[in-house]
Amino acid sequence: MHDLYPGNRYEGEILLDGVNILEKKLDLIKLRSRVGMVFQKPTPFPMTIFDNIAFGLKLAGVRNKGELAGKVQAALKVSALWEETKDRLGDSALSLSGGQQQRLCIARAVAVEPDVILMDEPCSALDPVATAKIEDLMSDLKRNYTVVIVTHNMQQAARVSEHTGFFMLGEVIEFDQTQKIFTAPSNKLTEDYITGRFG
Amino acid sequence: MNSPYLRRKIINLLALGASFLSAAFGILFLVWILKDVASFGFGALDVAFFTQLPSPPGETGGGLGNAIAGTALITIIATAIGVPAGILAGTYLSEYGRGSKTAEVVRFLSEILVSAPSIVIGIFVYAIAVKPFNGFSALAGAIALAIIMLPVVIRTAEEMLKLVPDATREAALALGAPHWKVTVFVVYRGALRGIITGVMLAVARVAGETAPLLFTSFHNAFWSFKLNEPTATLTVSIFNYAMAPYEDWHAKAWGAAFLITALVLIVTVSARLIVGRRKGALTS
Repeated sequence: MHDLYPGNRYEGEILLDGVNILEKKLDLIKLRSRVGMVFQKPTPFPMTIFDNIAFGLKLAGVRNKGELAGKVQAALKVSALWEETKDRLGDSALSLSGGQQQRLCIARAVAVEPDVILMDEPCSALDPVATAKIEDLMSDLKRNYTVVIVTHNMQQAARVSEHTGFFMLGEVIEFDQTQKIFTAPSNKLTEDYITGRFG
Repeated sequence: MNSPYLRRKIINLLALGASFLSAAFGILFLVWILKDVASFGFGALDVAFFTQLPSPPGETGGGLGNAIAGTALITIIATAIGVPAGILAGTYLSEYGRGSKTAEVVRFLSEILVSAPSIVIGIFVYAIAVKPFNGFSALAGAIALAIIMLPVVIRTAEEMLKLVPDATREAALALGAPHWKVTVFVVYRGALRGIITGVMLAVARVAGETAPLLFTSFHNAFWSFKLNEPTATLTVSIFNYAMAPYEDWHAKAWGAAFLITALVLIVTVSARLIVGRRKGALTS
């Protein structure tokens, strides 16, 4: 995603199943279909709720109408949106509330069964109630998917994650089990950050 | 009440009054034109006006059926040429050429084209599509109108496409969609209403053009549905009839003026209604 904007640079490597995804020759379209992404702000497509989820499925090659409908329903159930939307799948996705839109985006990411789901501050534009729903959802998703979440909210990191990495100015400062990071960090910077000395 | 506040209130009142008067001055002429066109023109409309050919000079009766058909024909062909080209150019500017030198040049040229006098475009098309074929034609008229339409459509298409948030494009790319699918299935979807509105306004604009048609489609006193023949249009008929010395032709010109004004007004108002509904959909 960052390659869409000029002036970004990376060092080191990011391994997905042993393959460095920063390699130039990588097929980006294939990579993107393996990594689901949920953005900071909800990004519903300007179409119906059903089509929002079907879009990714069609890209993945699902053509059969029945299969499509089944998978859309399954994805909405996973993201706990089915009960609220089952009677209005033909409505515009823009008519949903912010929290519902974000869950729709998660459903859209889940529908194509990616290997990893990347969430970039998925709750920063949401109120506490909607945040709680998304967090519940994350703990459900954890069972079947690897979820990587970026957050500036330390309590959220402590609540939802098993492993935590602390980044500062683009560098990985520390990566360990969440419990260890928050109780006995080995790096001074990490300790300063989690105790609120800066941030 | 102490004086600084009183002064502010008075100045506020004066400014408000001045802007109200200016607005009224502008609207006055619009209403005046509409009133005149309606009162002189409406009476000239009868069934014959829509169905019959013009009567010979000096005789009463007859109609402008061929001119109505000609305006429809030329406008439709102009739309078929100008709209796809304009939307594709707008798509290039918004989706592919962002920040590139080529896009800058295209945008700049299209801005110049917007302000090019329509008669100049008429003469240009005369030189490239009338002179070489030794004859006025409906197609030449349509080309002239398409050229006038082009920059308007480019501009609105680009602006409407840019209104679709980048986050939406990223989200579609993140699902593994290739760029062209993102553009066609997601970005166009979001910009559709805006683009349709822009196209309608562009159609309304060129339907009322006269100058570029004088040298291109010219005029025809008979029915013509052939693209390679001179073709009558409402606007050129107004031009010819208003200058002729016959009372009946003057009435016909008013009728044609009323008809074209009404059509343009209907298209413009329905385009505005579409935009209005769009805003409603976004806020709900």
